[in-house]
Amino acid sequence: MNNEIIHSIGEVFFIFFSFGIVSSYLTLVFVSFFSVKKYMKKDRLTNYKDLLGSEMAPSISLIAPAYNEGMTIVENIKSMLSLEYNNYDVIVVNDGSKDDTLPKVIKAYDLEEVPFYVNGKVKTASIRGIYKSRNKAFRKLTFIDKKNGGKADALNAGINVSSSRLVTCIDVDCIIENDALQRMVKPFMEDAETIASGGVVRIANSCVVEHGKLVKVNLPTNRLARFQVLEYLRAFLMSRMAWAKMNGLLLISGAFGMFDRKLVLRAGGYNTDTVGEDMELVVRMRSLLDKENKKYKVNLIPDPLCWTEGPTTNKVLGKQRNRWARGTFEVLKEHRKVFLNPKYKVMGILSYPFWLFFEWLAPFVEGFGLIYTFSHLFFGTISWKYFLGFTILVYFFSLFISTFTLYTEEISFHKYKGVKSQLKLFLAAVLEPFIFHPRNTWWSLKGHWDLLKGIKSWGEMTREGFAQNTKSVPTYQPQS
Amino acid sequence: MENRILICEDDEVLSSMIQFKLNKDKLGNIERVTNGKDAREKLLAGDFDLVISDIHMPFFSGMQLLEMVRKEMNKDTAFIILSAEGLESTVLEAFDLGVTDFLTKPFSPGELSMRVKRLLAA
Amino acid sequence: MMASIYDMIKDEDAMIVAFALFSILFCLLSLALLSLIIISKIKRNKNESVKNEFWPKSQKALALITIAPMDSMEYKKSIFFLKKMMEQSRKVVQWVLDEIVKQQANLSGESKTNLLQAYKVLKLKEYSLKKLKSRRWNVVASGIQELERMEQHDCEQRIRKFLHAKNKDLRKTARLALASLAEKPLDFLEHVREEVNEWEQMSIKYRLRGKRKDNLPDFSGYYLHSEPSVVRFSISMSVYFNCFEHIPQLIDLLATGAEDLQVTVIEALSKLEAFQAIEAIETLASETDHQPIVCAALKFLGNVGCSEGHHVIERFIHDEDVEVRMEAVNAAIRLDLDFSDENNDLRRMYAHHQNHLIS
Repeated sequence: MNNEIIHSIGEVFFIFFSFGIVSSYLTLVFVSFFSVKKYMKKDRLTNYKDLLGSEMAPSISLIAPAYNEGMTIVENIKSMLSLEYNNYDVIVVNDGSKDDTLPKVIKAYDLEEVPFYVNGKVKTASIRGIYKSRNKAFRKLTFIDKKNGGKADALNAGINVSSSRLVTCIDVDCIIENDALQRMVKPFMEDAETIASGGVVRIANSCVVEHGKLVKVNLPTNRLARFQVLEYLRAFLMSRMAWAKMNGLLLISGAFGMFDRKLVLRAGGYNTDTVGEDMELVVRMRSLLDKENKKYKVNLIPDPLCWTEGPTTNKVLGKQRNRWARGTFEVLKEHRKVFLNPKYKVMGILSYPFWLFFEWLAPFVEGFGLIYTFSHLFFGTISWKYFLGFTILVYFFSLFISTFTLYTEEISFHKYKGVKSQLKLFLAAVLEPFIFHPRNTWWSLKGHWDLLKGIKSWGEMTREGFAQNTKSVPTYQPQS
Repeated sequence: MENRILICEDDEVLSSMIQFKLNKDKLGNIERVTNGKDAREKLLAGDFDLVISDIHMPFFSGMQLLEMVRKEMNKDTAFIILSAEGLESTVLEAFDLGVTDFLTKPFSPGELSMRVKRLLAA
Repeated sequence: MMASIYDMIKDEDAMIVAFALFSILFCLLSLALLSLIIISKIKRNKNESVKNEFWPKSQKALALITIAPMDSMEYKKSIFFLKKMMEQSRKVVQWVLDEIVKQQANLSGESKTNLLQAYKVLKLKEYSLKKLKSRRWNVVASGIQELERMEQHDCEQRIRKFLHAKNKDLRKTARLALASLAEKPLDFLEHVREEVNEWEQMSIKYRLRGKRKDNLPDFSGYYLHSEPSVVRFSISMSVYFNCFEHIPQLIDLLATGAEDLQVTVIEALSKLEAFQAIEAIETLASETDHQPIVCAALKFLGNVGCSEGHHVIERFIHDEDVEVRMEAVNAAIRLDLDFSDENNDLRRMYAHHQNHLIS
């Protein structure tokens, strides 16, 4: 009897969970689809040239932390200095690199140490020196040399030094589109309540890159990277777009995000104790304003503005996903008071529960569900037919979501040319639940296991570069 | 000897228009590129008498190109910037970097041709 | 309810049927979407090939239109060529139109006249006007934009209609078009009942470059407008067109406005170098505890520059707030005051600012 009750509770939970996940995903994709369509319509009517020639363009600091980037740093800075925007500066933070990053940059850009008063008051590892160029062509560049303190710490140092209205935090090895700043700044100008705005990150593997600029978009030849193309599209275009529309966006990718500088300082900058520092910052900024009962908006621009190299081996990818899982857990734990708390509005009622149940808990439910179902099959309490029927339904549902994502991409930005690439992406969608998804779940579970054991590292920081070199950490991204 | 002129402009209609105009006024041998990278390669490969460049282009901006010509290649090639962005700070920066002339869009092709003629005669 | 759900789950056969039905549904939907994607791709490719074939020749024709005199053979031939091309499809018409609109913004003088003429001769104006009758707001908006960029001043009245359109973005487009086309470019401000956001302000301002002051309204008349963004915009326009005669009204605003507005007003006064306002701003700065006001006031004192402000600057140079301190130091440097030897922190700030003022 007792056994029976437990079983029924389990089954009812299972059904509710599945129903919840299906309905929320359907809502998300449809909301996203329509808001992408609306954005495209509005975008066609926008003339960004007005902004380029206007003295009203808000000031922006581009902040890029660098750790052992000696191989590519000179080229990367050059590309950052050539974005199309008339009121921005570039702050590169050398986070105690052990290689030749510092001398290389000093030489290439003719830097000299300058007296500098750091106005921001976020605590960071000590700054050794602040450099500016003697060459007027590089007057936009500020170079900070500091002791090693990690990515979040380096970003904080950059934010402290900046005196712009907005700060954009990027990964130094990402490829930023030329028009990225003018597009990102628009939400801030259109709505004074905007506190943060995110860009869509795409996978750059196999794309042709010259002088730090994207020349041609190609579908990755590597299978793992191709799955990530699909995954990123789904996360950014079909999920976060909807969250932004509902003003419930919790995560702005560390690879490319723009924030109100004063608010970031008021919130205390990035948290250096978590590997999910980018999500943590947004959640903290939101909590701060919710507590003060102020209105605000967190936005997302669907244009592909930032391209990043995705890991191509199981080992590196596993480490990345492991870190994401730990990051999610740390952020959710840190801000647990938000859960279902009406004071925190959309974040408390919708976003946090969604993240908790469908992002963080999903791998556990999946793992547990499999064990549970197989034990039932083994004891014959449910039939194979039932099991198969359910599995097939879940499979086709996920295929539908992925295809819908591809369709949205096709009617909006259509970055991948040719019918063939579309078929390849569809094939990836067909195979993903068998090949990619189980690994992801496994890595995520492993991440939690590591947390229990108290591992805090970012994992080994290597990845395949665009050219020949090794580069730093891949950024924090969501799983959805 | 005929003057060699390089037009760097990502808008192809505009650049072919300038080319027509300068050709018509018989100002020299004109080559066109659509981005900063090609411009750099051309400039490295041979001597030009005049460069007419937009500011916003793929790869390198007109400003960066100007900087390369003056500092990296150490050439005093006449350099005209033709840009929609006529902010005071931009213009001053260009002259700081050693631009020969600065025209803001909208511009008159006739005027451009006259300026080119005078520069080449000097 | 729980019980009935539980019963339903227990009814295995019914569940299996439901599973199967939904699976088929999602499978079919996926396949349908896939075919839509492929159709769209094929269409795109076809368009591309049409464009590739037609583009190089049209490019040349368009370039010739701008360069050749209007009565020359070359001009006429080019027009004829484009006309023929445009008969092919609406897509081509739109391409040509977009290109003419784009080039028009690049050119002035005779070349521009040539393009405006081509716009009429190629019947593109009628094409744009036809768009205004569309039911889709984005089509109407693009029609308005084309007329605006091609400087069709005679369409002012037709565009004015859309100031009260249902769609917010359409209303915005109409306002922008009027800012560049209308005889009195900003008279719509009076009737605006919604926020004119920063982006729109920027776009309007961009369109007013080079316009003469006499056609513009008296901005001080909008200082008491019910929409705060319009007030802020009017203040910035007073600054932009150097309306020194508005300084008394601005000083009046200081006494009545909300804190955010006061900051805007002080900044405006600072740009207008309104020394008349020194007293009012000094009083405000010493009475308020709103940090942005203090900062703006210090900036004002540094900018307008006169010895009367010294004691205010002196007071704030030791303020707890870094930003206030920074502004005070900044002002002190601009006024050539010397507080530098008092402590280390200030000295560093001094060095920083001096360095950055020079560069």
